[in-house]
Amino acid sequence: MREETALSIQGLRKSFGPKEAVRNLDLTIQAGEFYGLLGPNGAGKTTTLKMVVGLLPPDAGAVSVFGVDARQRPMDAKRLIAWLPDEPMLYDKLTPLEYLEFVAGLWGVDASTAASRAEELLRQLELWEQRDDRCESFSRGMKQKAALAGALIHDPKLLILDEPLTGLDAAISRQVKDLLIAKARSGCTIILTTHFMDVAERLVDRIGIINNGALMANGTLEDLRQQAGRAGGTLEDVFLHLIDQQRGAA
Amino acid sequence: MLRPGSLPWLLRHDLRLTFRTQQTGPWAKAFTIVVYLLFTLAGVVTAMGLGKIAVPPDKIYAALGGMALFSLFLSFAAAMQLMINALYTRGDYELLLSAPIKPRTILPARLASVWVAVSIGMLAFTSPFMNGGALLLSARWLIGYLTLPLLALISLSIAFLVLVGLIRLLGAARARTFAQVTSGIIGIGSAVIINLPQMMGRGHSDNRSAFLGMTELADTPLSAVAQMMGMAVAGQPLALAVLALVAIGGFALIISLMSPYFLTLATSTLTAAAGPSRKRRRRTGAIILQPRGPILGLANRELLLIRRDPNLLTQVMSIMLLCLPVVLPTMQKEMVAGDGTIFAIRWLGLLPGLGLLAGAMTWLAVAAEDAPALLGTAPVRPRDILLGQIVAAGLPSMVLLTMLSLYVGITSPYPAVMMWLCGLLSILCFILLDMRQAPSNAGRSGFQKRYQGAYLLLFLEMMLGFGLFGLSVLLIWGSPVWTVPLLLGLLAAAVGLLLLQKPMVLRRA
Repeated sequence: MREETALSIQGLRKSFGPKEAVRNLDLTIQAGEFYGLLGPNGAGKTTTLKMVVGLLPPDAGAVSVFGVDARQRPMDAKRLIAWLPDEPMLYDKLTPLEYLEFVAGLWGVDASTAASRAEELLRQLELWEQRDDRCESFSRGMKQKAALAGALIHDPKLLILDEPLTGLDAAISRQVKDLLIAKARSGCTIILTTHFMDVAERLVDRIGIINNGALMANGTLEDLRQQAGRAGGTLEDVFLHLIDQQRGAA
Repeated sequence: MLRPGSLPWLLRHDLRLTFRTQQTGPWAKAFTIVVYLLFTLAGVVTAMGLGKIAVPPDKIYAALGGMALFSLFLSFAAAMQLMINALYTRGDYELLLSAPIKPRTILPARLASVWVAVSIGMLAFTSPFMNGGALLLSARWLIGYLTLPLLALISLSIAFLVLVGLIRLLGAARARTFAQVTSGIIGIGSAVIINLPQMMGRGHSDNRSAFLGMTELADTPLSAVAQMMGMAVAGQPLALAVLALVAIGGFALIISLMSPYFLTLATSTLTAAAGPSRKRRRRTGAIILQPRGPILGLANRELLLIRRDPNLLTQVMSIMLLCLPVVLPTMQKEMVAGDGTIFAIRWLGLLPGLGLLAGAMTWLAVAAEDAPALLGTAPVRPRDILLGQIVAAGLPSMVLLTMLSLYVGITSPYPAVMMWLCGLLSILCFILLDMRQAPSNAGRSGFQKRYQGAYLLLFLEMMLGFGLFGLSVLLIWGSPVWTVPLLLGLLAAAVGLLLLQKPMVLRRA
C-alpha cells in the first residue's frame, strides 16, 4: 500500500506579482499516508494545495497525483482528489441531499452509489435528520460537515483539507476527526493543514513545515524533534523552534 | 476632524459605503464623462425646443408640478431600493449595535446617506437639462438644484414610512420582497404612465402637444399638490418655503419618532438578511438521488436556487420591467410581414425582455457562484462548466421564446420563425454582455446592486434591447433574401464569442 506515491510535487513555484508565494517546493506523499502541512499564516500552504487541486496554475514545476500528471491531465487528476477549503462551499438554498446530488453529478457518481454513500456519510456525520433542511439554517459546524460529506461523496483517493477544524465546537470537531481517521484507515490519503498543533500531533503520520513558500522540514514527529534538537518536545515546541531558527538564520 | 461615533462621522462612513461601487476604473470614469457631455448636449437641445413652446400662463405651474410629481415617484423608487440595500444587505448592524454609539445616531446617518445618494443620482441626470435651461431660457431653472433634493427628501421619508409599515405588517423578509417589487413598478410605471397616451397611439403626435398634454393634470384631483409643487419648482418663495418645511420638517419628525424603534427594526432586518430557517417536509424511506452530470446539474441547481429565493426572483422580474418602454408603444401596432401575413409587433417587444431575463440569470449563474472552488476542483472541463452556466442562464428564456413563437406561428409562420431566431440572438447577446460585464466576486447577495455603479451595463443593455427590437422589426417587415443567412451568421458569431469566454468561476479560483 505504502509503496505507491499519492502526490508528487517537484520544483513548484508560484508568484503573485513580486511576492514569491511558493518557492521551488518538492514534496512526496505516499498512498495511505495522513500528512499534516503546517506553517504560519501566509506561509504558502493554501497556495500550494490550490495548485495541487487545479485551482491555481503554477508558474513552474510538476504535480503528479497517483501517477497522473495534474498539469497535463487535470480532469483525470481531479477525479482522484477532493478539496475542502476552510470556508464551507455550500449553496444555502439547497438541502444537504440536493447538494450531495449536485456534487455527485459533477464527479460522475452513479445514482445508486451516490444514494448509498450520501446516506452513510450523513448518518456518520449526524446530519441525517437534517437531510431535507436547507443549509441556510445550519450552523458553521453543520455546514462544514455537509461540505465534508460533499468532498467524500465520490470516494476520493486523495483528500485535501485546508483548516477543516477551524470554528467547530468540540463535538463536531470530534465527529470530523473520527471520520478522517476512518478514511485514513480505509486507505485514503489525507493532506491536512491546521493551526491546531495538538490535533496534528495526534492525527498525522508525517508532517511538513512550510515557511516563506519553502518546505523547511519534513518527516515524522520524531524526525522533526531531531532536526529541531528538541527530544521529547511537543509538536508546538518543535514547530515554533524551527520557525524561530529560520527567522534567526534569515 | 469628525468626532468618532458622531452623526457626521457615521454619515461619512455610510456615504463611503454607498458610493464605493465596483466600476471606478479609468474607463468607467471616462464613460461617465462622455455620457454626461451627451446629456448636456441633449439638455441644450431640449432647452431650445422648450423655448419654442408657448405654455399658457394658467397651465405653467401644472406642467412644472407634473414634472415634480414624476421626480417624486422616481426618487421614491430609487430611495426604496437604496434603503433596502442599506438596511438589509450591508450586514454591519452587529458591529454598529455592539459599538458604544447611540442607536439614535445610526438611523439618521443611514437615511441621510440614502438621501444624498438619491439626490446626487437625480441631479446627475437632470443637471444637464437645468443647466441648458438656465443658459438659454431663464436662471430660474437652477432652482431645481434646491427643489430636487427637497423632493428626494420627501420621497425618502415616505419610502421609509412605507418600509417600516410593511415590516410591521408582513415581517422583515416579505417586506423586502414587496418593497422591491413596488418600487420597481412605481419607478418604471411613473415613466411609462406619462408617455402612455402617446405610446398607445391615442396621444398627441408631436412633442409640443405632448408637453401641453401634461397640463391636463390641472383638471385632476392631483392638481392642488401639482400646482403647489409647480410653484415651488418655479421658484415662488412661499411655495418653496412650504416645500422645504414639509421636506425637512417631515424628515425630522420621522427621525425623532422612529429612532427609538430602530433597534427593533435593525434586528428584524438582520434576521431577514440571514435568511429564513425553513424546514422541508421530511422524506421517509430510502433516498433517491439523480446526479445529472455537469451541464444539466448546473442548470438544475441554478433554477432550484432562484425558485427558492423570492428576493432574487422579484429582482429579476423588476429588471425585466426595463423592456416596458419597448413593449408598450407596440401594443396596438401591426405590420404586414414579408410573407404578406399580418403580424402584431408587440411580440417583438418581448424579445428584449427575454434577453434581459437571460442576462439577469447569467449574472446569477456566473458572477454569483457560491462555491467556485467546488466547480474549480471538479473533474469537469472548463468548457462544460461554461456550457452549463449558459444553459442555466438561457433555459427559462428559451422555453418562453419557443412557446411564444409556437403561438405566433399558428397565424404567422414566417414571422414566428424569424421571431424565434431574433429571440435566440437576443438571449445570446444578453448572456454574452452580462458574462463580460458582471463582476467576478459579487455573490448572490450582490445581485440587487447589479446596476449600482454599473452605468455601462445599464446603458449597453438598453441600447442592445432597442437595437435588437429594431433589427427584428426590419427583418420581418422587409424579409429580404439575405435575412436568414444574416441571422444565422450573427447567431454563429454570438455562439462563437460565448464559447470563447472563460468561465468566471475559474477566473476567481
